[in-house]
This record gives sequence, structure tokens and C-alpha cells, in this order.
Amino acid sequence: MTIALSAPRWRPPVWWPLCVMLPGLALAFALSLSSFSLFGLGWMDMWRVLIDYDPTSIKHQVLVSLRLPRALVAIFVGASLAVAGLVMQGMTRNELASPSVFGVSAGATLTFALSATGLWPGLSALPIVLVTFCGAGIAGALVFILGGLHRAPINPVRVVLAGVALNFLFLSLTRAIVILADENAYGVFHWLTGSIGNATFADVRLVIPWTLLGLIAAFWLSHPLNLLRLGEERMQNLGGGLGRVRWLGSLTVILLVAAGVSVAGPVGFVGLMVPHICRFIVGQDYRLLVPMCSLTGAVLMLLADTLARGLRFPDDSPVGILTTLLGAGFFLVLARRNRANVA
Amino acid sequence: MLRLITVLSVIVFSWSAQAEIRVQDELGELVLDSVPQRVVALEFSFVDALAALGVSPVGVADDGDASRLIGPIRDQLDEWTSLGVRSQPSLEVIAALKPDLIIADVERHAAVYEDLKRIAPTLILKSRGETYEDNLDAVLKVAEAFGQQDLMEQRIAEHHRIMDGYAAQLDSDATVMFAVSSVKGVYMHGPQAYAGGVVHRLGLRSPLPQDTEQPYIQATLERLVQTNPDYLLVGEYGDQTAVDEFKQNPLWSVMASVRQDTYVETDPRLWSLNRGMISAEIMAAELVKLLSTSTASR
Repeated sequence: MTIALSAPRWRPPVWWPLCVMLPGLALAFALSLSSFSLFGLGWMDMWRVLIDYDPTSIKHQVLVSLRLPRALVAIFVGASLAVAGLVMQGMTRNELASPSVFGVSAGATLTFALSATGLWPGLSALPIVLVTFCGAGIAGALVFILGGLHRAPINPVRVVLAGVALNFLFLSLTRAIVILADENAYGVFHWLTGSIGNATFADVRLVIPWTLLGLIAAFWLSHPLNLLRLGEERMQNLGGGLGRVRWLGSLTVILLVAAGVSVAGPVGFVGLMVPHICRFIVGQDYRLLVPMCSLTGAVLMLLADTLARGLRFPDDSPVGILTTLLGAGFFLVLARRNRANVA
Repeated sequence: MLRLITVLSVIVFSWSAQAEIRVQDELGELVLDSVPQRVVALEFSFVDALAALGVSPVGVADDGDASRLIGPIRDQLDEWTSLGVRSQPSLEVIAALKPDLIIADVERHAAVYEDLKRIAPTLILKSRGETYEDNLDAVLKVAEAFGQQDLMEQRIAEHHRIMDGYAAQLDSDATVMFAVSSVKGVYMHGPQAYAGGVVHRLGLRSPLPQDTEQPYIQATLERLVQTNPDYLLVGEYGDQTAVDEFKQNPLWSVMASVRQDTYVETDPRLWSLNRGMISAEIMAAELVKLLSTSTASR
């Protein structure tokens, strides 16, 4: 928290980062649409699609039917995972909380893999968001109970232990399923690293409503999360229903993660990195953090996917490789900074 | 004179029967005291080779599903015991079968090579990701373990005659590519993959550069459209796979193979799993049929 020491002078409005982030999003979007293409796509092609769309042109078709859904999926998945991480960190008051660290993504992935490999035929018949929602829900509920989140003063270490343990449990179960179902075991890699290489408009339609619902819920939760930041007791004194916030927060996280995983698989660490970056820029107010995380998450995901595409161009690489790589580095920086703070 | 020849041949024969069999494989040398009788194969390509020698394996790592081997190979063999999945065959089941020869894949089984050797003499050769030429070398090594190089060389010569016959029928400059499709995505088989080698053997071209190193390349629809082979064969693992999603996209119909009706769905077991001469000959026959009917219809 910053305290004004000098005399009042003009200061930019608190929401200025959002104004910077919006053009940033547009730029990342355009980059993602045009770069690393085998068809030599350029900015002019995008412009022509806008003013004079020609369905018989292969370049236009690539832009509209392949690149556009991929970029849109990146935006919504990035936003949903980032905000899911933010809400989780706010709710558990734990800086290391995120869907990929706490096993919620892994839970969703497990049911996703169960459904997609057809090992559990009944599951394959259900809509995929419902399947991942159940997976994320079960994982969330287990973290909730094992981590003791239903009790008033929470023990942060206990939550982390429960989350990390469950994460590994779900990851190994997913591995087991893939090995059982997959003759080549190429898939192990695929299921454990999120990818949006084959995103379609069907995926966009699938992810949009749930992400929006989750983002609205997160925005609605921003005030109670601000109160919770002051401490659980204070929050109770200020009349904020702690239990209700936790339940609604968990539901929001589960919804957002389920939406993201159902179209992209477990893209790691977006939910860990983005809230930290945003806190650094806009401070601790959740009313600003929620929109800021949505935008930053979307930008990060777009850039990561674009870079992943260039990693072994012309072969596509899953975006999850890049976010995990970035995330691991980020985790280390975070750990170092925390130690420096303590010292 | 006749007696002398008989005596000499008996001596020579008994000497050769007692002689050790030595085969240089991918990780060392296999030494056998006698011709193996109970063989287990940890990859499908070795079963193709065994079938050519008239040897029925007692165990096969068939992923728990005997039908993964194509009928023409299966019909030549007796029933076998499944050893489980190829990536992780059951050492216990292998040991219980008391084999006197294990044939393993250097890519999949190098990690358990020492364990396998403790069970029985192990011949470790290329299989997964092998090229067409690698396969012919490996087949010969399998034959060496049975002291049957001559028989196998004859079979390989016959194979080349058959392939030359098919190649002669295929006078085409068309590009041909095989790809597999599963729920995880579409994987193009490049020139280094077995199917790519068969295509090349028949004098056809791959749409991918000949020096593409990776045998199997994951393809987005964008990559596939850009690769744009004249003939596209896809082997699907499952009813609803990634290629079915590609078909929903308007770009699918932009591809030459879709426009010219030269896109076909084929058996992934034949084109990808059962690498070997028997499979290659059936693949060649399929290609001849595909290319002749489609040129006729055009």
C-alpha cells in the first residue's frame, strides 16, 4: 500500500494500466494472427480480411478459420486461468496458490483424459465442460476439505500440502490412463501440456459463456476479497460472510478452470504468474486486479502461443511448454524475493 | 565317393548344428548355442519377420489385442500369449513363457535390456521410428539368429521383385502422404517414417522435404493444408478423431486431395503398426489401386 507523503499533485487515475493493456491486447492479438505462418501472412492480409474478405483466398481462410479461433481461445483461456489464480490466491491468502499448483487443473485434466480416451464410456457422452467441471470440482472440493478451508483460521501450509499432493495424484492418474489407453504413449506429453493448436470456433463458443460467467462472478467477489485481505477476523467484524465467499470463490475458480481446460488442456502457471505481475502494477485492489488479470492473462497467453509456434517452426509446439518454462522461472524469482523480504 | 560325400556332409552338418550363432545387434552381440525354439517378440515388425521364416512366436507384446496384427500375418501363425503393451511389456509373463530368444526394440526397450537379458538371450533391433531400409536390415538380423540368412535374403529379393512390379505400375509424379489421426491430433508420417519409405520405394514423392528428420510430425490443419499432398491417406485410431474436426473447417476442402477425391481413410495397423515386408506389399497394392482408380476417374 502506498502512502502519499508529499503535497497533493496530479496523479494518473488508478485505472491507467488498463488503458495501456487494451492496446497491448490488440497488438498481441494481431501478432498471434499473423506471425509464424507457412502461408506468409502479414498485416496487409489482416487488413484485407477486414475490408474485403475473399472466401476463396487460402490466406483469408487461414486467418479466419484457423488463426482467429486460435487467438480467441488464447484470450479466453488466458483470462480465465489468470483470474482463477487471482481468486484462489485471494481466497486462500496464499501467494503460491494457482490452479496448476493446487491440482484443480490436474483434476479437470484427469476427467478430460478419461472422457477423451473413452476408458469410461459413460463420461464420453457428457458435454466436455460438464466433464472438466466435475473434475475441477472434485479436485477443488478435496483441496477444500483436506486443506481445512472450511474451518475459520486456515493453515496456509496445510492448504499447500493438500494442493500439491492432489496435483501429483491427479497427474499420475492421468498418466496411468494415457498409458492404458494409448498404444503409442505419445499422448502422455499431449495430455500433460496444454495446447490450443487445433482450436476451432466450436471451442470458442464452448469457452466464452463459461469464462464470462466466471469473470463476472470474480468481479462480484472483488469487494469481499478486498475485505478478506485485511484478515479473516477483520472481515468477519466488517460483516463479510467468510464461508459464503469461500464457497462462491471456489465455485468461480472451478468454473474458470473447467472452461479453460476443456478447450486447452492443462496450461500451467498462467494462474500463478499473472496475479503477481498485476499486483506489482496496480496494487492490491481486487476491483482493479480482476479486469487487469483478465487482460494480462489474455496477452500472456497470446504471446506464449505465438512464441511456442516459433519454437520449432514449422512444427507446432504446445503453448503449455512455454508457460511452464516461464512459470518455473517465475516461481524461482518469487521464492528468492520472498527470502529477501524475510531477510 | 557317395559315401565320402555323405560322411563329409554329416560332419559339416553336425558341426554347424553345434556352432554358436552370433548376431551383432544395436547394443552388442547376441550369442546363441542353438537355433531358438521359443521366441517372444516385443514389437509387431519382428512378427512380420518371424512369419517370413515360418516361426510362430510364443509371446507377442500386442497391446493386449491380437487383432492389432493384420490378418495376413496372423493367419500364418499359431496363437500366442499377449505380453501386454509394447511400451511396457510384462517381464513376468515373458519369464513365465521360458523363451530362448527375446526380440526387443532398441527405442522402446533399451531401458529394460539388462532385465530382458537375465530372462533369455535378447536380440535388440530398430523398430519404432525405423525407416523402410532399417526394417530390411533388422529383418535380416532376425533371420541370422535362426541361421536362416539365405532364406531371408531370398525373401527380400522376392520382396524387391514384388515392389518393383508395383513401382512399374506407378508412373506418377504425384506426392503421397500417410498420416495417423487419433483424439490427440493428426501426425504426418514423413519420408523417414516407414510409410514414407514405402512411398519412396515405389518411386512416389513425399510432399515433405526428403531431409525431414522427424518420422512423425504433429500437424495442425494449417500445416496439413500447406503440405497439401496429391494423395492423402489417413489411418484413424477410433471413430471420432482429430481429422474429423479438420473436416468441419472450410479449409479442408481447399486441399488438393479433398478436391480431387484422392483423400482416403485406411487401416492404421497396416500403415503404421505392422512395419514389415508383408505390410509393405499390401500397402503398395493399395497405392497402386488408389492411384490407378483416381487417375482413371479424372
